[in-house]
Amino acid sequence: MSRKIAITLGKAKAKAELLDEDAPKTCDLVWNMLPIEGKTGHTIESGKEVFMNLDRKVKLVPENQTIHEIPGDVVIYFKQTIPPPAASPRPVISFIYERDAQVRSLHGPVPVNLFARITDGLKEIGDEAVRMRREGYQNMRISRA
Amino acid sequence: MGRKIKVSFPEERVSGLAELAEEDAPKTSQAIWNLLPLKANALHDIWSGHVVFLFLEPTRIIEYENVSRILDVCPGDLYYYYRAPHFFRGAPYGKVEASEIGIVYDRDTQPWGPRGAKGVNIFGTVTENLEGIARVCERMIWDGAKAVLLERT
Amino acid sequence: MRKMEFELDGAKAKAIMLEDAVPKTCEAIWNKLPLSGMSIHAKWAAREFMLHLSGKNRIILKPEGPSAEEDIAGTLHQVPFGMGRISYFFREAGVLRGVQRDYSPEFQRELCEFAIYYGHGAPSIQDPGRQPDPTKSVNIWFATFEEPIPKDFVAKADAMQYEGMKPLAIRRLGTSR
Repeated sequence: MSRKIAITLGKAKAKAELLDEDAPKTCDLVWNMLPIEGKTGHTIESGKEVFMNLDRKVKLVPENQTIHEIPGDVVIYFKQTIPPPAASPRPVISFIYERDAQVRSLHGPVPVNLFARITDGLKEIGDEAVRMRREGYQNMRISRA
Repeated sequence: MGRKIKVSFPEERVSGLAELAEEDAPKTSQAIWNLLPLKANALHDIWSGHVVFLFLEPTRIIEYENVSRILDVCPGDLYYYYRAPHFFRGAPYGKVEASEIGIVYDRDTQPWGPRGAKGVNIFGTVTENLEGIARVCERMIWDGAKAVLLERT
Repeated sequence: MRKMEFELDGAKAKAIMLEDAVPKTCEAIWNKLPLSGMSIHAKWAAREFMLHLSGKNRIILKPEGPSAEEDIAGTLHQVPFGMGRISYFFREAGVLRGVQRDYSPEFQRELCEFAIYYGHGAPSIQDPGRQPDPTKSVNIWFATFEEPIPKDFVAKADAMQYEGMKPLAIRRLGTSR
């Protein structure tokens, strides 16, 4: 039985199932850091994605990677700000809420660790992402479910 | 709710249903509907990932419609693509104009060719038995071409 | 050379119209100024924000200047949008996939906007071999920001990623030689 996480964005709640078999190290990494909460933003280069910065000390290794995200994917990766600042890329956690999304940087697609899939509440959390695009973002909270 | 079409691999005795994206791609949906029933040999794509495709013979030109901003597709997508002759290098594909229908059967797929990404019209989605269709498409990597039949329901 | 002023939530930047390259477009837009509305940040192009031209702001323009094919023909497939470009976009409903639910109902499928590139852009993947009918998808680069773009203007634009939409006013700034 896969572990589950809860994602809260504004008033919307979603549940995601960890891909323990496909991404065991990444799932453990995320599980062990929960609960986390932080300022959320909408991507400006990747389409339908909402992300949250993680502590720079988070050690991420490539695992279960893709450059083709689909709605419901929950991913973790190193995000390079556009344009590249003096600082190195920082780890972020994000979810994809609709089609036409691809995590990208100035140089093109960025491979992400796909570690979970949203199983409940994708519509609700997507609606909240859409609303917040216009009105401004609130914190996102991710916890063990 | 769009009209449905049946996607079959007759020799494999596998079929599924797809819904036309009539709200998003009305012209392409109608143009494809008008071609049915359509039987052709489908080949596994060699550039794009999890896609099998069939050529429309003779070539049909359908206008650019419902193309993803990032030229991306999702599992279950049915798409149409047209290319002019000599757009990309190589034989046999490059020299002739061609129009094709693609069936996307799994993720990690982006329509691609020798010249780069392809801007495809997404005109439908497989809504029933994508898994069965996917198993047949996977076998095509080893078995080669298989007949596919698209029909109105 | 005509100049425009962009004011984004109190921060200002100036732009020069490309009258030699696209005279008809510049004339049509100049005649519409001043105009204002709420702008929204881009989702794909990186440092871009848009003003959707609704109601009395709506302008329908014919293609002018380099075609889309000319703009991307020499590229592989990824085209970074130019920093400092200000472009007019019109796209008929149905050309591109999907409904943009974060835009007002008028623009969830059709598009009519100023696209304002205030910094580095993410590469946009293109298929030069297959492009929409140029009358159904119009893209005219008609102005460029004077550089450097003021830091407070850039900061306001960047902030939309977290804070949502912000008010934008575009006005004539006069003519200079």
